[in-house]
Amino acid sequence: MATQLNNSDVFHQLPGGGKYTRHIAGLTAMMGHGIDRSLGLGSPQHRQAENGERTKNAALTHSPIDLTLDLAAPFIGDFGAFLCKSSPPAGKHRADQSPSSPAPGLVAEHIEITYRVALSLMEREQITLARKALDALPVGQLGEPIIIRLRKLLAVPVTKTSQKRDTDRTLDYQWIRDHAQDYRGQWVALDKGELLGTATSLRELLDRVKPLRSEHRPLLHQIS
Amino acid sequence: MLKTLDGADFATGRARFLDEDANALEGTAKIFVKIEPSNLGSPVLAQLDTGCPWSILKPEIAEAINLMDEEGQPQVLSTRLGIVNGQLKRTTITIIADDGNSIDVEATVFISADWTAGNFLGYGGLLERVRFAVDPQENFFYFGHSA
Repeated sequence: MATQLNNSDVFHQLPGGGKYTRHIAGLTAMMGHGIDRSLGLGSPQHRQAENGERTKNAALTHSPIDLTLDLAAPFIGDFGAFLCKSSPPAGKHRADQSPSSPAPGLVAEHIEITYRVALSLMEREQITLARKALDALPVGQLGEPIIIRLRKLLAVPVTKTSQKRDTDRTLDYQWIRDHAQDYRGQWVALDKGELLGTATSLRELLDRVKPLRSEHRPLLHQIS
Repeated sequence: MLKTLDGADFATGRARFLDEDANALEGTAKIFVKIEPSNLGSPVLAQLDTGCPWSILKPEIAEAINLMDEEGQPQVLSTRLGIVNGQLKRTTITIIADDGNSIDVEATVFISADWTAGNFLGYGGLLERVRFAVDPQENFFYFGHSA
């Protein structure tokens, strides 16, 4: 049975690659992909459902690192077993389960490795996978400050309706096309196709336009 | 404003975009949409770039909305201008409508004092939860909440 760890190169390039390799196996299991699926990217029918790195995922599927199940199995050592059996991931705890208490040092190491894996994935612009890695942490380990901060930062964007409104800026856009050459490096404030003010810094421009009684808030733009 | 095939709302707001900017480093047309970062008080333009992993704000804008002082997550970004060191921070970006509803997006943005190019709306941390469509005939940018 072929096993695809499409992003395993991420981990192998990290220091202490052995630990990360074992961690991959643990994360894979905890993220619910199963050992016969690809890490993070999902099986081909799941790729469309991925958010974040769809284009990149498509590219990555052409260069997977294929491992056989026989090769992958030894990676799930005692560390992976601890991850998979003793500590179900966030949201998968059941009331009738009483997780055993792993050694504090092992928990700290688990958190540290997951954190570093997530950072490495972020550097590689694998945002969805970084989220999954963090979400795979057991509930009890989600309260660590570094994990809280990173999860907050990586949280999917939240949208809501805003009362703010603007007007058609066609005339201001035309002003930019017509006059940009003359205002290189300047910040400009525009409204109804008219230049309300210029400044060399945004702070200065904001101070200048604040007293102006424009019907609309001016469009601010730096001509570089 | 725009509906999905099953009649649900796809886009609830729209705004005219700028498709030609003398700022552009390349000579090709880009799509610049109106946003208001946090409490800046005025709209600014940001280039729509789904290939950009994070949205980026100019450092002067970040400073004006007091984002420079906040502690963020160090991040290195590889750009066409080279490697840029900065921080990821959480803030509100409003995509402003001329017609219909504007939307506030609680987004993750990249901030760097070294960033010399413009504002960008990237996919990760912002556009990934925004439905949008472009009408290149009329230069309208349609947008709405994603489920």
